[in-house]
Amino acid sequence: MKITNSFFNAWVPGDCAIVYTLPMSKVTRCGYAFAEFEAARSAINGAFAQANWDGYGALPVSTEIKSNALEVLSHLENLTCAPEITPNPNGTLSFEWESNQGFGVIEIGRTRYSYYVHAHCGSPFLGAGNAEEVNPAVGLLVDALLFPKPSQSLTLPAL
Amino acid sequence: MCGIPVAVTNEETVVRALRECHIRKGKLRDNAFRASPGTDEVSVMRHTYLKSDFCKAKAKEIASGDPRNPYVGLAAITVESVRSVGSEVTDSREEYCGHAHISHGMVVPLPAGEPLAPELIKRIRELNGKARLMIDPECNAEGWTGAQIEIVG
Repeated sequence: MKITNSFFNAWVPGDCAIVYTLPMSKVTRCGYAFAEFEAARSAINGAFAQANWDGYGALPVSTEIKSNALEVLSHLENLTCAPEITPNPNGTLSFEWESNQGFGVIEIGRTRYSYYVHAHCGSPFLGAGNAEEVNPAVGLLVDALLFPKPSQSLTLPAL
Repeated sequence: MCGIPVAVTNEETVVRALRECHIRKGKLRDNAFRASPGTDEVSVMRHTYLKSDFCKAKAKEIASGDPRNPYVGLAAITVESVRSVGSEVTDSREEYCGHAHISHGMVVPLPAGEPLAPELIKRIRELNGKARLMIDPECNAEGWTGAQIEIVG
């Protein structure tokens, strides 16, 4: 069975008690990725709820935005690695990925989202849309560009 | 009376006060260079004139109030680097002598709680890539005891 480490795309030498397969790429990963997604959920739920958390007048992260972020995260779980969660001064939350291949971010707001994915070699992908309908292709794009697998096809659905 | 020139030159180093929310795993997060909603102003200090000890004291003042999100250091960047990505640095001594603003040319949208335009996210990412994270090795010390902050050459 092919098992890859979710961050470094390395072969896992030993046994892996829990495995799961990404439905789109068919890549099987070690179950500890669940822990990474749990950490992301925890970071979303714990994001600053009070104003001026950065000392420069930042807005609190509202429950509505946390709810949107949790919804998007649940969809990403089947598509790519767990993101790092960053609160923003405008009260939004960013999902961030960084690998040797490049950087990606999806910013989640009340009704909108924006994304920016840039592999070191290649042009950046930028876009935006309705927060209730985050295009799964963005997650696939992050996975394909930032965490490529030798066997993974780079064909992506239209963004 | 402020003795610092109003014109901000490319050779200057400006710094941004950092709290724990601005760093992750030893790296600077992009939220460090984002303006508050309805503005296009990211507050920085003109380090070339104010020097490290003053900047640290001011940064600790900015970061006071939330022990769960304390002062951790400064982000340093040259004005030339800021301008190279298309943003601008202007003196704003009405705040205090030595204060300046980085402007990206795009106001953070209102109503609040909506994401930035992807082009602005890209710009801020580029800016982050040019900035130096200066973690304070002794946050409780009165003066700056870390590595040299001023970016020369």
